[in-house]
Amino acid sequence: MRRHRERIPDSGVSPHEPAEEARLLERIRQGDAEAFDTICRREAPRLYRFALRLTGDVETAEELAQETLVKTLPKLGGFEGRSRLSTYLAGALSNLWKNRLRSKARSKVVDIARPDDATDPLERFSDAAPDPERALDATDRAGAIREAVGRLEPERRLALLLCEVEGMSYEAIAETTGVPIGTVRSRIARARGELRRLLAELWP
Amino acid sequence: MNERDDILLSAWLDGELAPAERKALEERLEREPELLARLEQFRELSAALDDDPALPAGFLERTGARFRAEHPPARKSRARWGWAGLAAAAILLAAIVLPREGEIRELTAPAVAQSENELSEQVAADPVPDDVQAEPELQPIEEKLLSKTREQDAGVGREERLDATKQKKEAEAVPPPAAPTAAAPRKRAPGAAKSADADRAMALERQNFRSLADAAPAAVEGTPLPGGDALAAERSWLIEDAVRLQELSGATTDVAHELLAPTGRVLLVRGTILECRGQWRSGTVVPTLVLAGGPTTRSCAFPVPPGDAAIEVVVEGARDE
Repeated sequence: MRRHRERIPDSGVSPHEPAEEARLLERIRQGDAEAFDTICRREAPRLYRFALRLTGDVETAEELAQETLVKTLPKLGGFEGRSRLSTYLAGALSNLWKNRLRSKARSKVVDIARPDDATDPLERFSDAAPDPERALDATDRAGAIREAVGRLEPERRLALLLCEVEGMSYEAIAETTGVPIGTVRSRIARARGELRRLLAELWP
Repeated sequence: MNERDDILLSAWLDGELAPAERKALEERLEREPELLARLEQFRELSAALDDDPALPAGFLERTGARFRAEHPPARKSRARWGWAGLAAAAILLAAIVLPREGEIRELTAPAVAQSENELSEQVAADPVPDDVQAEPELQPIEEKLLSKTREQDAGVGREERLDATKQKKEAEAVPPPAAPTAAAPRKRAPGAAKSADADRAMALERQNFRSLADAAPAAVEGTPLPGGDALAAERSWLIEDAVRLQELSGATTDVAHELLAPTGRVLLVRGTILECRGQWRSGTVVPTLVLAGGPTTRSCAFPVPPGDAAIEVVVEGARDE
């Protein structure tokens, strides 16, 4: 029997000293651009990958990752390092993304498919409605995966990607998304089941 | 295949099953090929998601440029002093300002009184260890200031000091900030030459002071203080003490203003610093100074504009007057 995978995937980010990270963050808080560049080089690749998986769109992914880095890092002077900085940034990006979805949902006038029992705008709206242009991308496996992930219900997609891309534990995901750990468990499982079905359709 | 199985397989893949659940599932996987096939499907999905797209060309440069545009380097301001300055200032506050050991002098505008009470309810009485009651050793300049404080404490010269404060207020060419506490003029060190740089620094300081005052308008815009004239006089006296601190160093000036400006409240403490620590709260760091001074515990926070640090001074074992 093959064992389950490791919890923290290799991010390609070299380990760094918490004290050094704290010093860099404090410098960023004071407007030190070089310190910002240093942290950016470490954190941007993973954050962008997460954003790209979440949105399925390179421009939106760059916007979200950039906004997260520019707005969040200057507020982290004195970061205690109890959680990884990458985890914190992923949480910040998730909130930014959800806010955008909610804003988009509120401004949406036309009817879209909504579960009757959903009350949260995020639950009622997915940015993954079939998009003819994006569907054209599903002509290769990578495009099919991107398309399939984009069609997942947003909360399930977020939970799955925080687990798969960010390597976060269920407990950390529960804390980040503000739902019980059992909900995280079922969301990830349902996302996987749904993703499997979608991929079978898009890339048989 | 049911949803319950999917949840178990998914959690197994992520290493999130309890030992008993994992053992039971692995036994089923040995004898149920369909379950194993489903697990392999999930595992393939994980592999498919595990690609590593490169950053778009120029991403780091664009992000860095945006940071530089939105976050110019901070000038040195009162809200950005370092820990060393904060600790030094706290020592000065603790060692110089209060004339009597174990005493808190505090004046609170109505708008901040409620939050102060809330904070007070959160802390409990705590006897002060014997080893923290000792008189702090004073440096020469501190001794000089303390001797003035002792004179005031004995009632000598207080009226004169208040008169002098009033006269200086009237003589100030630049109108004082909106905060009542800002009405106290800044004293210059004896013999200090008034230079253009000093004027600019003073103007900048006043500007900063106004911005701090703007952050808590309800507390500082001339709100009548409880306690009547006696308390108002006491308040002026306390302001004088804080202003004298400004003569000592930049860091001390900063802290004296921080303590005075945002809420219109003055808290002067005397005691021994037990601890200096920082806490992460709501996107900012709150430095906390813990001092020992008497039989009760008090704390108060000084809010400052968003993006700046807040100060919290916790006086453990201090006694209300």
